[in-house]
Amino acid sequence: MCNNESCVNRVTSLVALYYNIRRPVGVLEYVSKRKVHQMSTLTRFVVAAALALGSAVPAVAENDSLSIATAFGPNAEVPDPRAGYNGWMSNQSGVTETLMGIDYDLKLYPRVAESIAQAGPTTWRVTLREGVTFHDGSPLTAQTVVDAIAPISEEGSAGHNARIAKLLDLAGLSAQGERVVVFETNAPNAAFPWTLSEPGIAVLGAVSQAFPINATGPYIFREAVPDQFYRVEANAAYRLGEPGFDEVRIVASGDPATAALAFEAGEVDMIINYPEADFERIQETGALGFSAPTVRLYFFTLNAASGPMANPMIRRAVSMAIDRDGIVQAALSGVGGVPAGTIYPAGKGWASDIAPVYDPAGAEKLLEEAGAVKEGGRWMLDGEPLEIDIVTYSSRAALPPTAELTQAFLQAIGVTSTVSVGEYGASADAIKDGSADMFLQAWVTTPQGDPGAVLETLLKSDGGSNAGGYTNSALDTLLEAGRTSFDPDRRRAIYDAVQEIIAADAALIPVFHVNQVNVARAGLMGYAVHPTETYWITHETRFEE
Amino acid sequence: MIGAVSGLLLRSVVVLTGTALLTFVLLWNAPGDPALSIAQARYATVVSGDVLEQVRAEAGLDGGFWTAFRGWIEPLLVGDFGQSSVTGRDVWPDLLTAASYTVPLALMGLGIGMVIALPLAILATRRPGSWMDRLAVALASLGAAIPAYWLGLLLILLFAVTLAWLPAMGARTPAHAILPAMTLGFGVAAALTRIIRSGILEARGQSFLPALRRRGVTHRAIGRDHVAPHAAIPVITVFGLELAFLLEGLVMVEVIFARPGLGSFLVSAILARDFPKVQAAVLLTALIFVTINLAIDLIYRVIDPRIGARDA
Repeated sequence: MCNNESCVNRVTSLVALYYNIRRPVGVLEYVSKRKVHQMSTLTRFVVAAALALGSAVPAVAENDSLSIATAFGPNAEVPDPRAGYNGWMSNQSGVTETLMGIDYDLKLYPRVAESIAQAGPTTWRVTLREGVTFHDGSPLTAQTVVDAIAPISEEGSAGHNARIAKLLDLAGLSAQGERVVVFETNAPNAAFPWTLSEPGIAVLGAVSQAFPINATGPYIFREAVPDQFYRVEANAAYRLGEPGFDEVRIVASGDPATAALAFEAGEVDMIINYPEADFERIQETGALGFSAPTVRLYFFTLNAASGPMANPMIRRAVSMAIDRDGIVQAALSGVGGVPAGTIYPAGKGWASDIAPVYDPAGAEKLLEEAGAVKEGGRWMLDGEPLEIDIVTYSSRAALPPTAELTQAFLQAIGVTSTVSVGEYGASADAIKDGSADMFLQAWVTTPQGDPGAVLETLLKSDGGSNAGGYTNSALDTLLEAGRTSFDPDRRRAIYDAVQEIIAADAALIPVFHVNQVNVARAGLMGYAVHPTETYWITHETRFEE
Repeated sequence: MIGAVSGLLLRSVVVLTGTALLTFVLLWNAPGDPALSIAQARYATVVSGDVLEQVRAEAGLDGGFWTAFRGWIEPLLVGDFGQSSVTGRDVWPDLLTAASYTVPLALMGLGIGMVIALPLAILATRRPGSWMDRLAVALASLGAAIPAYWLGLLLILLFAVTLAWLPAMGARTPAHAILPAMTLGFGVAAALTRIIRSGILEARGQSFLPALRRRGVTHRAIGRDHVAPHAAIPVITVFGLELAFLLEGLVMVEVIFARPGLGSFLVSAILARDFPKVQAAVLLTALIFVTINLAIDLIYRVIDPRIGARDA
């Protein structure tokens, strides 16, 4: 396909040829200047058209390069990894690395750091690995890490990021010698080591024209065209070994159907988020399929302050009435998710052993205990029909069908509900002002691997995203303890207890964990779906010889 | 003529000012917190309450409607479109980049549409009611009925997957523009074929034509000097409006073929409630419509001087 430099030249040349502004390249050399002048307009047009089509012959699959189609492209020519969410693409494409990392079981591990140790309630000492170099060959030192991370908290700086600055909550940052970085936080924060796995907190060196993003990863940033593609090349000097590709190109494609066709045409080698409905068929053609649960959770926030959902028994009844597996089968073709019993996918990281429950009879029993009465096949509460207003938004394709299927499952036990699909903020407002009862959302529940921050904002009484007004003093106490307890075993017990409360009180209703559904050309090795979607390729990702 | 042009220009200024104000009012009053939309677009994840307030302040949304409007309109009066609330990038260069993808594609689509529509309509009107006429009408109806989304995917399936002649998506080379331009061209051809056909048939039915023939004016001269100008008026109107719609309404084609452009620029800005980008895109779109309408009005006056005389 026409996706390389020579092809661009050929197409440019044929346009030039048509207008007699020749720049002969390749086959065009055959058409001499004199011959072109002798051609009629029609002949020249036909030649130009033939060459245009000829220039677009399909690419022969090459094992030394990888082209990945994904929904979003870069938003700048040189996207600073610290700004916005640019760090995700630079991390996923292997350009940048972080001090800490999260493995495929959601466990924390030192990445560019060799170790992290707590020196006091608010002090963390990070020791850097020896022998790490940046893409330009300069050595990694504690001072370069300080210089890279300090601007995140400095308003007006190109690397400023209000969200990450809030996560870091730094009171001080300094270098001790060549290899130790000392972080001082404003308050005790047990999640701090996890925070250092945030892709935006990238380890960066001094930039230059040749290395506008000077990092330590297996791939070197080369160019980005906003909303189109992001291109990286191998860092042959990478400390863990030579990367598997000379070049990797991340291509933006907002329409999954087009990306799927481009894959079949051989234009891209891999697709992140392949259409679920076609996943089985494409694997029959010899393509590799990858599907594994992530920490992106579809869940209902409930109006716990007013209306029927203020009653915990009704919340639990609604939760039990939802056939999560039915939703996964119908809305996600059975491969796009796994039913969720708790906040995290089963067996990963902080997940407690809480299975999803589908029990329509049990749901009706709970409604009865809550004082509801079934009349003529419909549940009545306080003399009025029990009606539930569900709101959601449409920016994620599975949200509206999930809401509609929930409506159907509620209808099946005699509970009437309405579904409104609007904009995210409007839905949040509706649940906040009490005009809706359930708000279906999709969130990454542990973007840095630690459970604290998201649970606090969602469910703590004063949480910024606690739109449903849920209050539970026991939960508040546990969440506070989780933030300030540094013993891993104690934290584990705390977040187990938190998940038990959420399930027992139906503080929110988890529906399913999204599976990332990807496909790749046959022969791809060293790739797996990461549960936080933080990593795509490593130095080990390559095609079989 | 100068008076007429001045009047049209004055109307254009009123339209642009009204558009700017109305867009700002609509964006401001749309349901949901604009700061939340901006924060989500900026960070692609949930943010805490104080970060949200910081985003609100940075976007100039914390001082009420008129403060926000003044904060946008005052720099604009000196040619500054401001910075995106999401990315912090200057809006004007990004808008120009988006237009640089859209304008050539729209012109190519229009060109393809014209190349298909003109001969089809002329062939159809040679013998009204003949099989050729019916075929042209059927093709025009089909072109109008097929959604761009479906047609685009079919073209990709044929030319990229099956024949492997053209790239499926992207905007890196001129070859990448062929399939999107064809997708647009078929839709445009449908509209133009019907208009040109009915324009020619209507012009041929004019009562003065038999008189001209009796005076010995040749068939060719009648077509060139009388039928064509008469038929051109509605065609120019539709042609201009198609161009305007193509320039601002390519979003579906841009999404299918993974191309940047004005349509996706505007849609992503609206979803993110990125006021400076939305305002800039809407103003540019309004300017395009106003300019094209102005051009159409002026061309009318050239083709048919009676229109100018009536206005005078």
